[in-house]
Amino acid sequence: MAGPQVSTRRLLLLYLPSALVVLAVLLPVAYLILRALEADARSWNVLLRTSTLRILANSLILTAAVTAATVLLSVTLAWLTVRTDLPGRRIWALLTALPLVIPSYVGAYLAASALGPRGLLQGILSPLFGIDRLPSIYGFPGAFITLTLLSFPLVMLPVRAALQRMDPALEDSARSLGQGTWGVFRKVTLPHLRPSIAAGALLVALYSLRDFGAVSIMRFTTFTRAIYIQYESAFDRSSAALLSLVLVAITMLLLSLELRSRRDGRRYSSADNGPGKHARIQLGRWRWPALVLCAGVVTLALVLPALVLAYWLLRALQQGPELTGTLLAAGNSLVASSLAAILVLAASIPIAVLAVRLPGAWSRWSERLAHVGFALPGIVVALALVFFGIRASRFLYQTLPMLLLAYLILFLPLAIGSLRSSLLQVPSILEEAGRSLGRSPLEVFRRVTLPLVRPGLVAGAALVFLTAMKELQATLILSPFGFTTLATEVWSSVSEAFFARAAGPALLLILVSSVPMAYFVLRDEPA
Amino acid sequence: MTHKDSIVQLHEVSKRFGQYPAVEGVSLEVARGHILTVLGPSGCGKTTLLRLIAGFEIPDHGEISIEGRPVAAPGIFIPAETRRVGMVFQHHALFPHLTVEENIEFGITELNQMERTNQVQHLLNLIGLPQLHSRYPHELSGGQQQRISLARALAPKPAVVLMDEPFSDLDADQRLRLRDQVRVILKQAQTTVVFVTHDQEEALFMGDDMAIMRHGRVEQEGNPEAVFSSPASTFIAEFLGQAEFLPAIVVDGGLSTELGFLKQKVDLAEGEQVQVGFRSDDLDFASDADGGSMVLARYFRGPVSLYRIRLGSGRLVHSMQPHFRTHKPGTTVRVWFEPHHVLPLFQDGRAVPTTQTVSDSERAVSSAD
Repeated sequence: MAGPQVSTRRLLLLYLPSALVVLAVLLPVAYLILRALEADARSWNVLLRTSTLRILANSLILTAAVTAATVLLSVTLAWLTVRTDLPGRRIWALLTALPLVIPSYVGAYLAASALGPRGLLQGILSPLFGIDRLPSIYGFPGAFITLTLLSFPLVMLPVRAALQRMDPALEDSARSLGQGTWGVFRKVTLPHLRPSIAAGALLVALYSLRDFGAVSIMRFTTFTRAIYIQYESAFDRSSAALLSLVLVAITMLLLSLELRSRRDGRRYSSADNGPGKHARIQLGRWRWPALVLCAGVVTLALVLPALVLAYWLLRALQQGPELTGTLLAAGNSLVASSLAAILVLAASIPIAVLAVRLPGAWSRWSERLAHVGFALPGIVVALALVFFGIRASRFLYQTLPMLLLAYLILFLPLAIGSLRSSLLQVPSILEEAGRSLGRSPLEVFRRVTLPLVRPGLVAGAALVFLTAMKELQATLILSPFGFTTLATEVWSSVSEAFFARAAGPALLLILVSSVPMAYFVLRDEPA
Repeated sequence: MTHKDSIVQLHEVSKRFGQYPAVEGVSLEVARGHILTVLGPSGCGKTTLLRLIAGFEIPDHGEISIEGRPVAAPGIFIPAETRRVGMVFQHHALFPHLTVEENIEFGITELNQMERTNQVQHLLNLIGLPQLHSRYPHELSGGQQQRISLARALAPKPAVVLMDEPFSDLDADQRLRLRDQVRVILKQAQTTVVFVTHDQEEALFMGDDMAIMRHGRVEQEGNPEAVFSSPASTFIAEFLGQAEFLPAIVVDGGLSTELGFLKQKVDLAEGEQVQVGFRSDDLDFASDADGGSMVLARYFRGPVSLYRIRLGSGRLVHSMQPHFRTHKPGTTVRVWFEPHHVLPLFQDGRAVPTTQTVSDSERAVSSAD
């Protein structure tokens, strides 16, 4: 019904770009289907072997254990740092968020080099107690500890935000109705936090399920590792694809659970008048165990890794560092991640605008489909692009654009989510006001909408940048020949057990990622 | 209203959202320089009507013209930005990242910088806030924000200004003050306005003309006083004046009601059943052990008291009394009509035409609280 002028403009600026993006995002899905169709009996046998069952069990147990542990840890820490008079709350809040910056393969490398049977700890203990071998950290324990310590901020941050947003009247009225601290927490606070816990837990579950670095270094075979091994050693693409399909099915299941919890979340409103003042709970004697907990977590997740890293760095400096290689890799990382941030952000704009401003069947579907990357491990995306790269566009194969395309598929949901929520905060009447003042939709978008969503755009770009810096699987497979990034540098040094050589790039990686991370944490923190 | 000089014309305009009809067959005209208030309860379609005129919604049927140019008709749809309509929103909708000056300037496209600055200053003077150029919207009070929003809408010299409940975010005090000011500003600028509200007092005060909407249709239109004194339906009588109704039968020379004979000229055959519309100041009562009615409650309102009374039939009515006359709840009383004007009559919810119109001065006296 809209006039011809309006619809052409919308078609060119919104619908066409969103269709292109969706098409790109669907490549890996097409790949998986093609591969599964051409799988022969032998490939199916790989899938039905008992070892596959073991891989499935490994993946599920690891995911469940890490998720449960992070929820327990995060809710406790969030409550302590938001609601109580814990000394140094803000510092603890910042410090406990930082482990998120450490990529899992770096964390695993540090844990392995420190706590391994013949690691640093053993080196210290050996002259004192004559211990020449520590119990092995490899396998489940190493993977579990590493992933838990690195991923718990994914739950803690949303839970903290929900605690801060919560209407103080809820807890106050529970207290006035005769509930003590524990009663208030259990009957009022915890139910209120459930949607945030569920959302965070989903992120942790996806993180563990899709993790490649930590499980590989800890030699614990989950799906991602098995797929990589099939791909690298057996070169059996069909089996790899079938395994990928199972992994994708599990992630889809998790995502559907999250959707349901998001629906439940509507019941819980937050304070209309912005965050109110919550009375701080006096910890009293409990202050000490609380401090020990915070200090313990920070020591394990931050201080120890830093010390180990410092140790290896010193060793590397003594050996004479390979500065040029590291700097080259850092440059590559910066270039690839910055380009990824720009590309992904640009791609997310039409989809987010459609989803928020022009609801309809296509808007809904394009937004949903754009989240496919969320369910796809980097390795699957990489394999898909290798497949199409070799067949369809030889000239793109193993080029930077190809790598960027993989980043687009993988990180699009991050940018859409960030942009979408800031678009929702710009009332559409502001845009209508702009148009009633005689400005075209595009002009209104540039002069009104864009300045108002700038914080969301910056946040989205930072998030994509941060994640792209750490990305390992797709980068390993798709990087142009000789194109090393900090992530691949760390990886190749560690997999050859050159711990000292990994220290430089690992440190740089952490430092560069810390900048956007600090921006996030401090942004949500009330001054 | 002369047809030639109407700025906005709507002809049989309809709009549905899914199965839900928001606006149905609405025809309206707004004369140059007039303020048309569109009044109705929430959900009656008045905001959709405004958005249809503004160009934010596309009508399913009908035609809309602005200054004689069709802007929405079969095969025609002129987008909002080229319709020359100004809009003032309920939540002011000032651009939070722009200063007052930049907000007002936003819609001025043709002038050079100096002319723009002059135009902004002229508008700031007009709305009585000459000093506020460089403030940001969040630094202003609600009333100031709403006046800036009006100035912004006036800046591009629109053919018509559409106002969507512009005062409803303000507290009662500010609202009264601001609506006086805004009416003066609009009249000074000789603006043509469509003003949407759910507040009947505001609609009566602001409008040169008034249209009352219900379920997507215009139920009555006319000048506010005429609408108030002869409501076209029981709905409008209730909505405008907190009216109450009693059944009555037409008899010779008047009406027979539960409260006795009401002398009033009626153009209906004897024996016809009607509803008499009245308000609490049209009833009087006195203690009477055989009265058949009972005082249920007394609501003290300072100078007057409102009594809730249960009639013999079980119906509830209300009567306003001066504060010095008190009746205890539980007292048995007799109630009668004491109108100082012709009471409106209704059949099946629609007004029965009366031959006699009410004199305004009389109404003003009888409704003075």
